[in-house]
Amino acid sequence: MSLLAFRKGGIHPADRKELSAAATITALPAPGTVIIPLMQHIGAPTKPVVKKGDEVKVGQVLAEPGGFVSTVIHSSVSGKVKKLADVPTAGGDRVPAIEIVNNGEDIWVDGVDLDATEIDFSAADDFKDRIRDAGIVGMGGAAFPTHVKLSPPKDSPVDALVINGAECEPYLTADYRLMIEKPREVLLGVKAMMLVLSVEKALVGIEDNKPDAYRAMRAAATGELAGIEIKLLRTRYPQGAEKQLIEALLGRRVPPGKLPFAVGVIVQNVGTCYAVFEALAKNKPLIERVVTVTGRAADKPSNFLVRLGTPVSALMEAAEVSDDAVRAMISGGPMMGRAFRHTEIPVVKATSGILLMDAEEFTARQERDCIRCGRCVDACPMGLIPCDLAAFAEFSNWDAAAGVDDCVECGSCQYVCPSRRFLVQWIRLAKAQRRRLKK
Amino acid sequence: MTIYLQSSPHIRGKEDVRAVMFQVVLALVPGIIAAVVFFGARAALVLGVAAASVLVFEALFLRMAGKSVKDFALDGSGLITALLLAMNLPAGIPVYMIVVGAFVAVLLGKHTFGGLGNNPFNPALVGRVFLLISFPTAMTTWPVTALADMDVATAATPLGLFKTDGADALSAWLANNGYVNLLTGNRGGCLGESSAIAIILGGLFLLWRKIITWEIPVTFIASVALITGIAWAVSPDNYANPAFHVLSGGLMLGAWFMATDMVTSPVTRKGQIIFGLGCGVLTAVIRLWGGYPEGVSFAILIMNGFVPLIDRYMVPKHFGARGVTA
Amino acid sequence: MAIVTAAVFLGALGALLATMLIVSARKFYVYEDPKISQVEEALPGANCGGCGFPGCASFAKHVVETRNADFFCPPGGAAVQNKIAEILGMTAGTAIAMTAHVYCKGTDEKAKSLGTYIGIQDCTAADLVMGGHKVCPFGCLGLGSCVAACQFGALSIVDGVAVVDEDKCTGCGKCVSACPRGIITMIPKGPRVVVDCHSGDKGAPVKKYCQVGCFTCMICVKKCPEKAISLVNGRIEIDQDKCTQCGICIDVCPQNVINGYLGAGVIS
Repeated sequence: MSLLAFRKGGIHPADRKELSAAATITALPAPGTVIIPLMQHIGAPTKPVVKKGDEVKVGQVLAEPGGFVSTVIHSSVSGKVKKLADVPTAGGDRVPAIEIVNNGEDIWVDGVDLDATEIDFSAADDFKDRIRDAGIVGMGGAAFPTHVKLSPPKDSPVDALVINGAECEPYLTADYRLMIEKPREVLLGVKAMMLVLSVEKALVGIEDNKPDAYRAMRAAATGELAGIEIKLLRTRYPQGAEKQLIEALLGRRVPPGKLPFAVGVIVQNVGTCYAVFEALAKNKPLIERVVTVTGRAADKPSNFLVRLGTPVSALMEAAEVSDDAVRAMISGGPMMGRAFRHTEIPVVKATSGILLMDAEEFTARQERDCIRCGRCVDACPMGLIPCDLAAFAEFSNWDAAAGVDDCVECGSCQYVCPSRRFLVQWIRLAKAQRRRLKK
Repeated sequence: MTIYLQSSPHIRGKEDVRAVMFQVVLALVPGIIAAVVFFGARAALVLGVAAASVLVFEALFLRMAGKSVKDFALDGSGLITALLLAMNLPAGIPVYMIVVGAFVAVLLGKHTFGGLGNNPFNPALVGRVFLLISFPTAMTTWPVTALADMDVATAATPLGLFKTDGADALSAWLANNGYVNLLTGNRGGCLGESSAIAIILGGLFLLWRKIITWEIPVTFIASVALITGIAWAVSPDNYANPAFHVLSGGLMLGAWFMATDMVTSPVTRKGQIIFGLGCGVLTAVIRLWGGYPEGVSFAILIMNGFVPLIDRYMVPKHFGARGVTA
Repeated sequence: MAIVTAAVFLGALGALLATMLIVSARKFYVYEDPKISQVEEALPGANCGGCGFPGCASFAKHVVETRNADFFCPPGGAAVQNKIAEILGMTAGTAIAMTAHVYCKGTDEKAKSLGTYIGIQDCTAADLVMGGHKVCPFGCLGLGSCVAACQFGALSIVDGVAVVDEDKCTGCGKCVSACPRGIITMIPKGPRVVVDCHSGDKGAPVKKYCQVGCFTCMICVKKCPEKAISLVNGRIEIDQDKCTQCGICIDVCPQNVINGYLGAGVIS
């Protein structure tokens, strides 16, 4: 069986997944205080419906959607609301957040059945609303509200659901462990979404560096789930980028500036599928997620099931991170994650991993002039010329840098550049300046 | 304890500028060995003087530009310029000319434009062409190879033979183990243009290590073969055959090492094809109908001038721009 | 004979070309007030745009066409303004010399940084893309965008913070737009007392991240005998018209945020 793959560009870094690949998902105890940001997604900020002093239960609604493209925020612990304040995020900006002191009793709201294992597919009409009410957003990192994604425009008919099990970022193993340990639950979530979208075709793409995940998912795709195709993909970064994933699995290319529904496809992450399962089977809102804590500075790399709002310091302590060895702290993977410094930042819906890099993994280098070697052109999966885009940005020629609109910031160009140029930073600068000029 | 803050990505590939440059130097080793075998210790002197001069001048100009001498002088690019310049010189060239050539290559070819990455023209070729125009006799006096007849001290290159003495003289030379000599390097010429095999070996190494792409060498050599082939087919008495053209002169060195210089060649694959074709066509035209017996240096320099234009228009299509199913 | 032919031919050619030139000069002549080139010659010729016009020629044209000697050329200063007034036959307007002022003294030692920044050495790139590497979201990043923007070499980075040399500053204002944090503003040259902090935060967090950050304790507001200090848009500001430079606020400020400047930017 030949491997499916995207055609152009990409890189093949050492995947370093062996650090945490064998670590079974372990539930981290809920911390004494959780900080739950009101903005954990793409779209309109949510509006709080609780105030200081309120008593809340696990799964209770803390904030309601602030628009159509928005989501619901729930409490991940039971306890008392301490305050509403602005907190820093991994990206450096501050967002309003609700701080709750955990009373340690873990009292859930009514209606949640934590032991349920099946979804009642006859009630499919309610699924989209229940997904919205559960506060589910894209768990692969983009955090786009799932119920909105499952509502493509009427004039763009969708015929296929693509599930992203590629987890192409090095180091991260959260989706991998989920597929090994809970394959049936993931597929049940997939089937639910197939019903919501009324599609018959669903494909799960898994990179071939995860053979046991592939086998586990194949084994679980039986009975009512047999219609879901499990496909093996060639391991190459960024195989998990949605446009590349769609090209590999279906041979369709999303045109520049358009979204996957333009070619009749909706893409969801396996973590999102699991959250959908929990919402529809157990009535459980999104209050926890699997986070990989890894990197050579962590003595005990792990995959934790973490309550949202847990400060990253708790994860670092549980993974026995040696403070002296750490040289860089990343939220996410090494290719697209954001460097952070405050260890009090909370785990949010989009946090797929925490990477603690030591001096061997992270080397600080300044950039040199571009030597026009063309490796960035070969590496770019979107067909851009990154060295030229960076040059336009360097000389403030924002009009000429129009190509940045198609950049997905995967980082392949910067990875291969021998002159160590900060290509993605230049491109991001161009994007920000172009946005400013449009206003 | 330092914690670093950087915009993503936070990991990098292993190859930096120095690694790239030193692999090119490594690829030149077979050619250098062939040069020393065929032209003796003098060849080694030429190489050594070139390397030393380039290093000194680079350090001088970097100092004047206020750049870190340590970071830039030893990144390998200067060494490549020196070795390629030396490989483009005859073994008997006076030492002071090598120094002049190195000075011009480093100053006019590289640092007046802002250093590595900013120069539009191949520095080694700039130096070489400057020497060719300033000292034409010294630059066209070829010592015989160590394995040749020891009756004469100097001899013409096969291409030169053809230009001055005509097709018959060339045929006579070729009949006398000519092709083997062309391949192995047992013939008059510059240090680097003698042994086609040694250069090809180096070029294949660079291809394997993905330092260069196949587009430029293949299109360059193919277009030379095509044009000289057509000319030879039309009039075999007036023109040499394409196999001879491909193996002689500086074509191999030019196609594998000079035209593929990353700074002065296009960044996109489509652009590289145009560039290679242009170099080949110009080389063939100069050889067949121009005044000089050898056209590679001029052809590459002319095409270097077109590279910004090529890069501007030979732009790849963005993902999905060609249609949903390509 | 050949020489006669050559002479006649070249002479005729020369005459023809000369005629063409004379005709075009007359036909396409554009009247320009000679005062415009006089004013332009009086200008420094830096084309810095500090006057608000795109270049010295444009400024000269505008001044002469509107016969307005009030337009001010910052690099030229009072001397050039007087000259322009003389050329136009008017009295010079009185313009105030302005200088750039950096509202931050958070050096590497005094302001906490989040980490060692690895990236493009430009403040806008660091701020827009990653939020900067200092804990204080309002302070100077010290990467030198303002230094690069200044044509007159009046700015430099000292200990990680931008510093203005008022003698060299011509008031052109390029650094103001270059700073992504907006902490450089143009203020009149001369003795003044300034609160050197634009932090929008209040209270304890400010003290944690900067030893010279203003945390809005309001002591200076209370102690000022002329009532010159007030809270404007969340920031403490001193009204220079009311300020008598008594220095009481400088003494009472617990964070040493307030500084006094004599004419040439020297702290008293």
